[in-house]
Amino acid sequence: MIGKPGILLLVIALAAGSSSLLAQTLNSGLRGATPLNEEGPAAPMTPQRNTAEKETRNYPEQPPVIPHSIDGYQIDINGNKCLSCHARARTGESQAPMVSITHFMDRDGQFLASVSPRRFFCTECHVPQNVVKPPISNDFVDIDTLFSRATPGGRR
Amino acid sequence: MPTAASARRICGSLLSTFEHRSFDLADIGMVFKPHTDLYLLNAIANHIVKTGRVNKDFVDKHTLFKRGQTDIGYGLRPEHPLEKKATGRAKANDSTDMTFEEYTKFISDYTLEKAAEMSGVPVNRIEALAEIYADPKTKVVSFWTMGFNQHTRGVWCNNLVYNIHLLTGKISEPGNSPFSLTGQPSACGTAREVGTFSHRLPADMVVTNKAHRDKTEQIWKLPEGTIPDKPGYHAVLQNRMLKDGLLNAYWIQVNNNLQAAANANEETYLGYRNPENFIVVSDAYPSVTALAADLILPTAMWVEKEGAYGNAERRTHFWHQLVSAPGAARSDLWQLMEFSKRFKIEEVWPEELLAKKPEYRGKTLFDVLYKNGQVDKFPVSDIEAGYANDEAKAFGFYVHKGLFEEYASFGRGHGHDLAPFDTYHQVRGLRWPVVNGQETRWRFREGLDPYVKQGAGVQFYGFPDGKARIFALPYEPPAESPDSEYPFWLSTGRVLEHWHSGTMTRRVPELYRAFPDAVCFMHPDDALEAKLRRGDEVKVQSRRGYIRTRVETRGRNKPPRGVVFVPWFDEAQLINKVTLDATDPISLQTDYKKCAVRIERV
Repeated sequence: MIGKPGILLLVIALAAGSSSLLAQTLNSGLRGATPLNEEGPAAPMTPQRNTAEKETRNYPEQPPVIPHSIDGYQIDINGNKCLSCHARARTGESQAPMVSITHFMDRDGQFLASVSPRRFFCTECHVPQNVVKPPISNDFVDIDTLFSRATPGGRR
Repeated sequence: MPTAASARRICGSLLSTFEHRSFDLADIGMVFKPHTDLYLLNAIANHIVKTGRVNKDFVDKHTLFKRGQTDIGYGLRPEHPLEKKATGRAKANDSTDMTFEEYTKFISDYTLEKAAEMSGVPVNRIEALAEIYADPKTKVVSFWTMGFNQHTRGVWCNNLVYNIHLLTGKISEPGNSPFSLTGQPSACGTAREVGTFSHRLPADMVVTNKAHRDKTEQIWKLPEGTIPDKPGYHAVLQNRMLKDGLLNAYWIQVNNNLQAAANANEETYLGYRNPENFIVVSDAYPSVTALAADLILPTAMWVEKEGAYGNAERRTHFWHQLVSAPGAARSDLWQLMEFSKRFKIEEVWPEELLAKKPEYRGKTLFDVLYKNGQVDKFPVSDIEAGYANDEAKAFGFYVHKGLFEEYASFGRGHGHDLAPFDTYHQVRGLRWPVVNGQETRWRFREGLDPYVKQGAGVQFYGFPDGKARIFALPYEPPAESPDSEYPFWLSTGRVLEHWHSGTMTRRVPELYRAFPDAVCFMHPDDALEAKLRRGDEVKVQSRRGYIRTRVETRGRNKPPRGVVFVPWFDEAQLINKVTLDATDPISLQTDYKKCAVRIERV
């Protein structure tokens, strides 16, 4: 009888020890190693990627990301800087991709002569990219790779 | 964010405490001082009255006037000095009858000039906005998001917008409506409708009403008296009670509350780490809430289970399970049902309840709640061919269909009619009430809503008298305002790229690179005065806590002088350590848009 409380205490001490160890090893890549009740230094700001090279889309419906910087671009009721290169009539001169034909459709699927007002606001879907490495990797696999894997002799 | 549309032209006007992207397409942009929306809304109503544009016929037939309780406090802890002196705190949601004349006298102080002086918005813009509402030929839809709802007077703000639409009769018809977008249009509807609140039951019923409890117990096959007549702790109170050790067991399912709740330093974190408490978190990601938990249960996501949700527009949507959850992850539903098997009914009910349902003796909670002839009524073979359903496989019956049909029985015939379960898998959502297979696109108007009596024209049948309420509600100051020590307003919110706390979206490389870390948006002149430049590291410090972040002076959000904006998605910068847990005493929703901070160079 006398020994029992002692054993119990030991078990509790072990449990407490292991849980605090666990608390130390648990962290998320997005927060980093800073404990929840502290605040770590802020990551430095990063520049926007600024090239003319397109990035491959992950799936056909993906709004393409913007490969260049759009600092200071005006997109408002008075004007749309993006269209000065991406409008149909400007693409010969700019060699930029034309605004997708889907952007000329109204909500009923009818094609308009110019970009539909509902697609005017480019940055709702298209975003530039900062030069920064995401802290968490992503194992997304695109459909072509999936098909290829399913084909005998295809890519693995 | 009111927007107006007419046959001749479409005009968008926009109200916010700082300029953001929606201003880019606005005809009339208005930046107002935080909390002065209460002035602006009353001034618009007053303008409608003063210029003789009240729709008298509509107002006489379909509305009543009420004087709302004032001095209702700020939903802080009762010992807070602000709560101690709030005389109307205990009856925050009360109101008394008043006449139209008394109402017009009440709002006569709220002139356009006074609103301009208080809000900082030029008087001609306020008048232009007021005219959109006042002009009987203009149709107008008012949309609002969290600035109105996450507000210590959020219910008042909502009432004041409704007032404007009711005074002009611009409601419940195509092109004329107030519409709260809420923070999560795709899910907030669900929470309200199904009753997942501490005080609510399905179909807009509440636990404090005996008739509602009786009906619920009867549908759920429970003995009378099972449902407590007192609401549980509401969301903000839960954190306080965890800290105080009065709530000791807490199970959070797929929700990042530690990051989302205000005043994390003084309340939430201490509550979660209180050694008296056992915190369980079901999540798909190692969110900060999961990191603070005692036990983490790996949990299925969205298309890893079959499910449904309700939109703000009353649309009910279904989806099928498309993939299985990885590893040992299980859905929240599976976890709850499996948990219920661990309890014998004798362990959870007192003898007097058991005596009313002796047939339940010896059964488990699972038997009583799910394997009860009602929820387990539909066989696995009812599942649409080609789709998996891991819960149905685990329990041997079509759980989702059984639960939905049981839930739907609350509202059918009571203005909240839902279509049969299988219908929703065939359509792209339906807006309730669904009567004779037809959805309802506009409520409360004859010809559009089958619940409106013939000849009534308009019938606001939420009240037995069929009338909507126009409330007289004043301006009252915010809970905390800037002063010499903490000279800036802090507003928090979201950026387009990141969904809520960013657990999903920050794991998508394209979205991470589009907006990697939170920043402190600030007016360039404020930065200059503080000798700060874009990119400098600063502390955003309040009376409660701080974060370290970077100054942004030329991004997409352009606060006026005296206001800073920090988005809350970034778990490396827990801005809710800084915010104040002041809440609307009626809605019990936190005001995340207003507290006082200072900006210090690191």
